[in-house]
Amino acid sequence: MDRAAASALETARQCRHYAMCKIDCLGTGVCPSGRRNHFVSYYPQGIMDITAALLEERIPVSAGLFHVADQCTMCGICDLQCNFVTGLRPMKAVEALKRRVTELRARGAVPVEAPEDSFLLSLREITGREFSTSDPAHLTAYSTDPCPTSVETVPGYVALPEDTQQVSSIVRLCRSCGVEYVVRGNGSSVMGFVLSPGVIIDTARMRTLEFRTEDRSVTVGAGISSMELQKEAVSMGFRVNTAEPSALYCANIMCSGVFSLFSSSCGTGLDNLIDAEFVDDEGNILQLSGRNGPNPCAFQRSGALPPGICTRAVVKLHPVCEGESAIAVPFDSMEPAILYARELNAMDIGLGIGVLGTEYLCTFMAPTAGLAGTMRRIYGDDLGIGYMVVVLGNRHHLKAARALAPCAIEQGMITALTLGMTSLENSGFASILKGMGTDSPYMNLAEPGMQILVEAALDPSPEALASAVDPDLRESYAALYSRDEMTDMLWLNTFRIISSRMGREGHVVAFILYVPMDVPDLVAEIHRSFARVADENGVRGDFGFLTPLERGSMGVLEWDMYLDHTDEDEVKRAQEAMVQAAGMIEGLQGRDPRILWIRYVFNQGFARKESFLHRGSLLSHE
Amino acid sequence: MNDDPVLITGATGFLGGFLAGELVRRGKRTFLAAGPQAGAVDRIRRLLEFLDVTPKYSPKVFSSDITKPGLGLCPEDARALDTIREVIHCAALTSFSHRERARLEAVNIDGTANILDAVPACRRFYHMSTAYVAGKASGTCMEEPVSTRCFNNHYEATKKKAEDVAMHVCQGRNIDLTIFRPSITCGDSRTGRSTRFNALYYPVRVMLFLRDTIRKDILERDGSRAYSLGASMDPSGRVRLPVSLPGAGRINVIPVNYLVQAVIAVMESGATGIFHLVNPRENTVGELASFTEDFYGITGISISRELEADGPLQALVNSYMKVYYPYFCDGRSFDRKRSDRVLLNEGLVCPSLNREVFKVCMDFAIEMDWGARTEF
Repeated sequence: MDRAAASALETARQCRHYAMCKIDCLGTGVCPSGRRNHFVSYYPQGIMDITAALLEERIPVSAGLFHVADQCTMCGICDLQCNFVTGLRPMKAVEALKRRVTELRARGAVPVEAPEDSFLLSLREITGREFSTSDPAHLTAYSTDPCPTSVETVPGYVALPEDTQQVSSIVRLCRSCGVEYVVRGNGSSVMGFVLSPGVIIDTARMRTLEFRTEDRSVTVGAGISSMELQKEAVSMGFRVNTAEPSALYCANIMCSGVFSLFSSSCGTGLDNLIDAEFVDDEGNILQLSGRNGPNPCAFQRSGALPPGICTRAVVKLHPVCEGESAIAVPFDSMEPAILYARELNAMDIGLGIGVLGTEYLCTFMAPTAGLAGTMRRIYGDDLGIGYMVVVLGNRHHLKAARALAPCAIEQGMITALTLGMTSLENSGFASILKGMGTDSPYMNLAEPGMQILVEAALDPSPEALASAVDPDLRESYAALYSRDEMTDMLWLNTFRIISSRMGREGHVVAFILYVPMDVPDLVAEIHRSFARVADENGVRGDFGFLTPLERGSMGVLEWDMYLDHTDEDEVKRAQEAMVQAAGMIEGLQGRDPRILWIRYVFNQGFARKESFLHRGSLLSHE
Repeated sequence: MNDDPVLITGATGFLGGFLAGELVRRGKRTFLAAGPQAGAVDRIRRLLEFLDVTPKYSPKVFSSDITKPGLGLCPEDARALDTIREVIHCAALTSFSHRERARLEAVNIDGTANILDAVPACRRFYHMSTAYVAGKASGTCMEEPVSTRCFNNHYEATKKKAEDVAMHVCQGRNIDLTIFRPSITCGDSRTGRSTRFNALYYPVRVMLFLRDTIRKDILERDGSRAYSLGASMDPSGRVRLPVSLPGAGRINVIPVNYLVQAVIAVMESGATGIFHLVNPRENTVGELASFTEDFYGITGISISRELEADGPLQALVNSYMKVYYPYFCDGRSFDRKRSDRVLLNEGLVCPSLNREVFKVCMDFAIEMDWGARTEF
């Protein structure tokens, strides 16, 4: 393998399957080939997998392979998107694929058509010929995900239904032929849940999006991403409680429910769901609101099968008010940050609240891994910021939040610090604050007018920030960061385009727990327990976020472990850490039954949150 | 000076480092205890190079953690201390941060006890304290044990308790105890050489940072940020910074070369007791502000009675001043009778912190990038 191919292979194997290349996450467009052909294999994510398989000679020369290569226009949209999130340059893989296909053609290679068995013919009758396949190139793009516990599983078929009726027909076909199926969303779940040797049902073509603004609701098809939904909602003056932008909204519901910082005001689970449509495992079509629909109050702690494939959901629209913005409230330790977040939520202050760790915050804000590392050192060691409570709200919320905070960093300062990030170290500003000898140097950032001094010291600008990235991408980054929204905490939390950066330095294994927030010591203990497990196994990890729910009585907490999923040793250590963490969580749940690992909510994300957050009070519990 | 080897703790620190360097230069056999960080031998070697010291006898160097009983030493190093009869204890944590309370107690109080425990044959113990163990006492601070319980910060409180520990243990074991109480210590009055640049240096560093920031904004950009901060630059390049320093009291500063000479003179005299190593000629904040303005192209620094609160430049200055306020507004004086008896007899007079000394110290700090190049 030549050097270019080896480099392309290295890039291709690093794909995190976050699907940010399948949405218009930066307002720069979406892969035209993917949009046209729908299968993930045509998107950069699939091309990365196919390129890796081809260079490692794991797939034959097929018609699908040639078609994927030919359809790519080399437009380069994905290079900026993927670099923005993961620091990778997928065009390397794209070029390697194109180059290899050209070589194969030059050598007279004839692509093999995948055999069309009777099952495939039946699938094609349902979806239309071009939307069901057993071509090995396409199948390989549906065969892996980077989760350390996932086992590569090449499916037999991939089908792309267009509507609920087609989903029902596929399910009936599978049932009649005894063929397994799973449904998948935009990425690959990154938890190993959407791999199957049977049929992968990809909902990418189910693109219903119908607003009923007079009723403050929107009907969302199973192929609509959170980004698409939110963009449309915001353009109409509303907001939806969405999770990761590339996640398909219906898939999110079916997984473990949607939660975000906005969950502190608009809840999770059933709270944002007006109705939903499912296809059960017999192919029957059910409605959540129907007589035979699943009971959202019947949460099962012991685990539950999904009521079916969610094909549509009717979701609440929350109105956006003028003057909404955000503040960031820094703390040097976790307990006071939790108390502050809890107090705000208890008093119903804020549209969104989150306690973020410095690791999380710096990873999100910095456009490169190197800058994120510098920021962590400066924010953590020099400025003394251990945790940051981000408060999103209208002017009344923020006025109250400021009054209750020890100090508050305003949006303008966040913008200055973000666009001036590259100068933070060399300007001497951070070391001046560090050398003050004060307990909380970060408090200087909250001084009235300090933004002007920070701007004078850092000379922040989109161009300055862009100087940190690859030279050929600087112009694009400068254009991106010239948009106010790119440093706007409210916008960034509404669209969450930077949260996938958490996977930039390695694949993320996220542990998500519902925790009582009235015992900050317990949350701190949970944090320390995770840290100990990670440390003992040599796995990098840190606290992610904590969002209060239920007027501060409960919260949803994320703790993350990071690994290079292509490194066997790291994978083994991560697997061991996951086993130990699971045992640790089970032990915690035994001590305080209000603690609930989100794995127990899996398949029940449409459940009424009271049924799992207050399950100790259910009559059936007596 | 006798031929007994002397153990110096905190040998990679500021005062301990300069004392170690001078004693090594004079051919004294030394055991140098560096902090627990890795590479003690290399750090001491670099320190001695920095101090232009060529050892006549190679010092015995080891890393130690004075917060641990036995100093965390390996058996061989611990055995080596069995014969030590003389100790200069300089290891200390100088932090005014509330978050450092536990570490301050561990290093300054427990550390003093642990050091004494680790040297069973010790006959003379020289304890480096601070003039500010006097806490919030007013008037004249005597060269006597301190009785106050009111301190400006936890650092002062722990240094006072460390004195108590040293006095208690030394009395019980019949060890001769000498306590040195220096005031704020700056670099060498002749060369400016220093390894730490906080306390006196920091306000100057802040002023220079603000000067450079304002100058850059005006010269390289449109200056709008500088002007909105109330700053400006005259045609000669002097930057006007509208900031105020509290100037109600005096600052007592001694150069480190004087401290080293004074400590050695007291050691050689065989005197015991408490010695204030302080400057009979104190400075006002106004003097230091004027030195800063004259030497570093700054104007506009005013002197007020209290901390003023107006604008981000002032906020930055205040952030530091709130911590060091007691030392910049000191109305106390320090008794020097015992010290003078020994030091004046030896012809040792503390150099004043005049314009020249101020400049040589600050220029050195700038050359060393405020300590970035003097980490040992």
